[in-house]
Amino acid sequence: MSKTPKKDEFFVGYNAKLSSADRRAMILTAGIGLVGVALGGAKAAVHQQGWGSGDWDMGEVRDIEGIVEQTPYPVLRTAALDGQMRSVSLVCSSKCGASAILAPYEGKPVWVRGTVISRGRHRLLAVVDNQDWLGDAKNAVAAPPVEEEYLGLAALNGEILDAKCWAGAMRPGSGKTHKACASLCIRMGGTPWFVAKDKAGKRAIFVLTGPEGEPLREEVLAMVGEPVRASGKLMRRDDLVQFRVDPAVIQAV
Amino acid sequence: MSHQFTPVQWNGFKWRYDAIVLFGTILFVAVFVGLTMASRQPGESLAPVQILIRAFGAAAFLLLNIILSIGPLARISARFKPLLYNRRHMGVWCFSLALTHAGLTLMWYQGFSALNPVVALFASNVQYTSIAGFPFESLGVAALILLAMLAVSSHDYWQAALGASVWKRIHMGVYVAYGLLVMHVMLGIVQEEKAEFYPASVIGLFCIVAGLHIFSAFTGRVTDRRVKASLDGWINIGPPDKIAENRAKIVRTESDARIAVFRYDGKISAVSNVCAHQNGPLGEGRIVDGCITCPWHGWQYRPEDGRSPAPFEEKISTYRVQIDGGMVYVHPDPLPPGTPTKPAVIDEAANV
Repeated sequence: MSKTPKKDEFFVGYNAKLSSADRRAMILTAGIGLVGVALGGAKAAVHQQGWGSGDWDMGEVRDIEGIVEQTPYPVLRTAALDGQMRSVSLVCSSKCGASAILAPYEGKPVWVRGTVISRGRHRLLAVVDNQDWLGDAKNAVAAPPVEEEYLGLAALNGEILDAKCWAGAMRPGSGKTHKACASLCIRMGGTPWFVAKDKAGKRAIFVLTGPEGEPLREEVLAMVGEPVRASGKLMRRDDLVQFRVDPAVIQAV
Repeated sequence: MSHQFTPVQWNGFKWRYDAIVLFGTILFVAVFVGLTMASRQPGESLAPVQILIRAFGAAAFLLLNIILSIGPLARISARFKPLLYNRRHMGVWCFSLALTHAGLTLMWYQGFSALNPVVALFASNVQYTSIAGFPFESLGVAALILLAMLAVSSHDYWQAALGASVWKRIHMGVYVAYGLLVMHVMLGIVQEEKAEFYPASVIGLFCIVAGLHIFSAFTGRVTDRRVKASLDGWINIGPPDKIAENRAKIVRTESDARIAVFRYDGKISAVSNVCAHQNGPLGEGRIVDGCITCPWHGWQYRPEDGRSPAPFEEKISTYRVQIDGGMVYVHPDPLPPGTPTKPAVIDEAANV
């Protein structure tokens, strides 16, 4: 005679009956699995790096007056935000550029309606592009000449990214997972910034332009969102510092 | 098994199984989102959508690793076989999580522009020759398409329509999807995050899945050697009492076919070891209510003719058997599926 197991257990799913040993094994497996899942979720959460401090206050729509300047990207030179003369970058609320609509107003006093995106000392105004957001200024607007200063040559390590994303539209708005988004934003008319970091992690923000201060878009798309090294001139225009580089010398690191 | 297909034939086990999977998913997402919010540094501002993108992506990837581990675990220990029964629900759920991750990603990162988001996804980054800049999203899209095909075709209706062999081959595509997702994660979030935890976790999970498959294949190979037929063409598989009652011994022939030789009610019958449903190992099954019952999903066949009991119509190959000199012999040439064969009757007196 063959040896028949004392308990020849066999699970058939549609019977939905587990032997007591199988039931114990399944309960143990489920318990270990759920504890593992919870621990995995916890570890995956706490090891993430910082998300940045940017903010987009979409709840408060503001009308700001100033002078339009588009060299090389749209800004509103204004004293309205904090009382000092500032260059506030003008960006779309969606992924587009405001340059075409602003072109007739170049150098003119205007009012602009939008919401403020801010990170540190950097301020952007996301224009409310689903309604009237631009017109001739209703009040007298101070228009001192642009202060321009050559600051020297620099070779910097950092990342090219979209100003609006990094400043608060996306959190985080940098790095590999954001690369395609930043590339799309810049392609569609966003403002490219160069976020430089030294070895100590200290950060400096520059407006990225061509060698003569011209706008860059298609030329830098391949390098957006990656660690890169670039060398060029630093030029201050009012309170913004431009990093003027030949896109051909931007290298992945 | 039935020709009257219903979306899901629920029972208590399935309900409990799915409830635990759902609870595990909610637990993972809740812990991830909660601790991400709780562990942020002062002044940091989080985008909830981006937290959810990460949470759902991580949940889908973890679940796929669990799904792929169940098969080899069940081969290593029969205790894990109940996990196989409802595994396809986990697969569909895994696809749903991946789809949520992909949908949120597409909306958040590629939406809000004049370009179609799908066009934008593929046009925004085309650095396929760069490791640092590789558009890892395309790997995720390819994996998602594969997972969608598997989820849609997971129902028994498609299995019956396509045939077990074609269906099984299509569903082996889950390994291609897994490979794509490993690369998607490694070239995406792992490149971005600095903590060693992330590459270590992905590589660790991959090693567990690969290790379980290799181990189960190795242990199976030890007991799965080819057996030569004797000069008269029959294979000697030993005395009947080496086969447990209502169980089978599996024989691998020189032509690489596997035969399940069952002992039941004082008789011996042999059938193909391959279930018509999902190619499950019938020889690891049991005789239940007079029928060979597959250990994977419980499909049944009569041992005498390899046919499913009415009203079902599935058929598997049968093999001729005989007992001579106290030894069981099986002929390695398969008979057409569903062919009645005479069981060999065990002479108990001769076996003592």
